[in-house]
Amino acid sequence: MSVARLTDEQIQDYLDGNLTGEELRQVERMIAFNPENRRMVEEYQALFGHLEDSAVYSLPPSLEHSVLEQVSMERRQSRWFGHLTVAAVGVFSVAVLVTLAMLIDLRPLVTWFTERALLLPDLSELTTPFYSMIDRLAAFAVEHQTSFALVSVAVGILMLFSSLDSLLLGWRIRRVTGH
Amino acid sequence: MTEQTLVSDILTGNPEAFRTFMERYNSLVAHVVYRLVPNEADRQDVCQDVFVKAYRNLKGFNFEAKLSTWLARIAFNTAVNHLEKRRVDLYDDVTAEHQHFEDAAVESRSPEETVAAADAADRVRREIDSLPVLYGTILALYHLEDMSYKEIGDILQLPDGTVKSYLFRARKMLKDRLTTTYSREELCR
Repeated sequence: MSVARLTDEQIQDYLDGNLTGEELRQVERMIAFNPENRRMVEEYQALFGHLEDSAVYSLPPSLEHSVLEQVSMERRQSRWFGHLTVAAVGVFSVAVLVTLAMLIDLRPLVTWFTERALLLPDLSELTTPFYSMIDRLAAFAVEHQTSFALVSVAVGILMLFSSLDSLLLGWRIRRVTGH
Repeated sequence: MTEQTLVSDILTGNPEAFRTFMERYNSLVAHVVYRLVPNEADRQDVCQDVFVKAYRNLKGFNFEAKLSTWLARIAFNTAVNHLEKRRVDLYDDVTAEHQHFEDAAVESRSPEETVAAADAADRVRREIDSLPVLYGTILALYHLEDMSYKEIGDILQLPDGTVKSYLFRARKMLKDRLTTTYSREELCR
């Protein structure tokens, strides 16, 4: 009885475990009864074995070291940049608020707040050292309102430039190191 | 350590976790990049880029795919971008350069190395190197990384059927070449 030859695709499917049921039984019969099919299967089996043995590539330890160093540097940079950004935004916001406070007299608002929220009839009744310090500071700020405004704007601009410089410097470092 | 634990440890800034990640996927990245990038010096740069990109993008990994598939996709895209960027230089120089390295390697072999080079797995390796790069990559991912057609398709952005067909063609091509060059006994040794 002559048994048909298997195609390369059938053999590969068989060895990959892609066949099931009747198809699998038929291929197994064709392998069992045809030496040529058996020879082909053995050749493919040997090839698959050699393919699994051919793994030679692995990265050198020096590469692992450089990656870890770069990642750690990025982590530090990112943390530092995060802190700087938060600080810059914080100082800038304070500067803007102080400027606004200098330009607009907030005393009526503070009086309203103390009357409603703290249930005090008048700001002048505040006698604790903290409240009197605030009161004195507010009076001083109103008196030197222009100077305060200028200093606040200057601090704000300085912080803005500092953030931009950090960004630009970071960009230059990345460009020089190529990462 | 599960993928989830590993990723969350890396994201909390544990350097040991990232070392484990690199050790675990070292060969996967090497298999993808080394198959695609022929120049030895470039290979290391590309591999380094792959791991750094993985680190930067790990926050966005959503566990929809396996971590290995995700990383292999980064490796494949990085290698392809590298080849695209360097196309002129690489295609003009690399064939000659690659040939130069091959010749130098043969000339500088010791008798022991020559014997080792006759090893069947080494012959298979050399034949894989001469296959189209995509075939070599698919062979490595399927046989060395135990990936499915679907996973390989996800990495190479190819339909599963195409992956299967390329894999079959690559193995047939490889077997035909080996059986033409070497005796059956040598192949089945």
